[in-house]
Amino acid sequence: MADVEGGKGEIPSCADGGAVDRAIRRNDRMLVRWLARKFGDIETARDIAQSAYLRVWRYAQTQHIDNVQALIFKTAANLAANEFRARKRMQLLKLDPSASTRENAIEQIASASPSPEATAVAREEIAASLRAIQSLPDLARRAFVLSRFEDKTYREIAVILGVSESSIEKYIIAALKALRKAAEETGRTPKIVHLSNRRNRQ
Amino acid sequence: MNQRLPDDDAGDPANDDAAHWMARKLSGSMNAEERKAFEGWLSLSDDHRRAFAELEGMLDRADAHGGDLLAAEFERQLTDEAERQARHRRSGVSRIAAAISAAALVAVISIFAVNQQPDRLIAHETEIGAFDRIALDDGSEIELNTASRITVAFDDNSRSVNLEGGEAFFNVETDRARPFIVKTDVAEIAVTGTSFSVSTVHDRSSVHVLTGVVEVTPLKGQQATLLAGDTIDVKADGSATPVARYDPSLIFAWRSGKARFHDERLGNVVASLNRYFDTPIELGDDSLADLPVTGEFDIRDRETAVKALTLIFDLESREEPARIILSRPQPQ
Repeated sequence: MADVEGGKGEIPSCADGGAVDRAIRRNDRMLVRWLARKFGDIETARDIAQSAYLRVWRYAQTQHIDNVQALIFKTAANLAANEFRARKRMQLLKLDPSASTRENAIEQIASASPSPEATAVAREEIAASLRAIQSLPDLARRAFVLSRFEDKTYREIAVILGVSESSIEKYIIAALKALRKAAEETGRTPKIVHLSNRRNRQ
Repeated sequence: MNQRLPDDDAGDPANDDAAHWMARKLSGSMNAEERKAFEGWLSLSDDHRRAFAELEGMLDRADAHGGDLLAAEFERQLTDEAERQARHRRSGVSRIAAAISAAALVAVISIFAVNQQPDRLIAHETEIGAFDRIALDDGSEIELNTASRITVAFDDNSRSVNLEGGEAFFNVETDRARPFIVKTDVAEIAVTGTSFSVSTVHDRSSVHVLTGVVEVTPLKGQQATLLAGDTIDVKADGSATPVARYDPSLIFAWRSGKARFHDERLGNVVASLNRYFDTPIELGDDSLADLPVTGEFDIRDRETAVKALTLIFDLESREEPARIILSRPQPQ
């Protein structure tokens, strides 16, 4: 950061400032609409987009950016994912009084902030589960993420991915099997380190 | 101790069943019968319960990465969307000879406009639920409905408007020397002086003529001549439906802030109303979509619309942060 003036022979803030402006102008409408669809709320969409622009713009003041559009998307995607997860937790807590979702809500809180001890035990398995999901074929991974984290039904996912509903179920089963395989290969066979079930571990 | 073999495929039928049931549970479409079968399976043996609980634990652990995985998915969706738009623009350029693609023209005109005539290319846009009236230099007027965007490019020989999305009503001042042309992705609409509306929703363009004569050239097929009271739809593939008649009191209701329906399916009514609302209304139950609606709604007032629908059909509404769900009352 402090090194920007350090004789690179270019003035990134000017050049990249222009590039950032152009990239924002080119993508603003699409990005805001996409966000509005995600959150069903234009205010939130604008807030997130603005916040992403601001971050990228600040970054561009000191760093060279090869692909401004990609960085804007990445930043907006991160902010949107955070907001999405936060809302999901709130929603589960406040709105759904049914027993099954209350249980989910508790799991949500628990898995969002597990005890340090649970974290240590589960870290290796968590890393393995991430690898398992990431190494799934493209469509299976997207189906899993859309189902699990975007709360889409299989029908909705089928529309997004352009495949049949029954394929989605196959993808999800593949994802679940990959998770089991990963858990087994870490050696610590699915020994139910249920993050939400801390009472088992004390 | 549970010593599981790593080879899952050869695997324990309890694990396979557990994956199947978990996949059903995540589908969001498990019915009462299935749920019963699932509970039956669970209660059948400790092994089943163990296998299912293990899967839940594994999903929990994957949840720890939910933010990252979701961010990666979002990034992917955004990149796809941007690519789709860029492709759209590019493919349009080759079609310019046929004078069709709004997006292409915008792209091309922008390039020249930036260098030469920045004041000649003007964009107008409305947000969700908004309405705008635009007076053009030639005396023509454009009314923009919700979530719509046009680009206006006038020169000495032509008056050109690109409807990039949404819906617009045009009241065109006659100028024989300069035809007035509205372009969408799938059609070109040419007039000299008249009033009509064009909407483009889901890549489909509809033209409704209120007065005068309008020529519509779809991307594919024959040019059609529409008179007052005529309508035509141009589908996403560029083919057009036959010219039909329509009821202006329904079609143009938005110009006075209303949405009117005559014996319309509730599913379509909700879809129409949602064009105006930040927080969409959803039907909790597919069977509701076929209920017939006749009536008038204020498109600036979602609450009253929801109230009216719940009263007419004896429904309940439940507000969530991102949607409002209408459903039949649960029998207590």
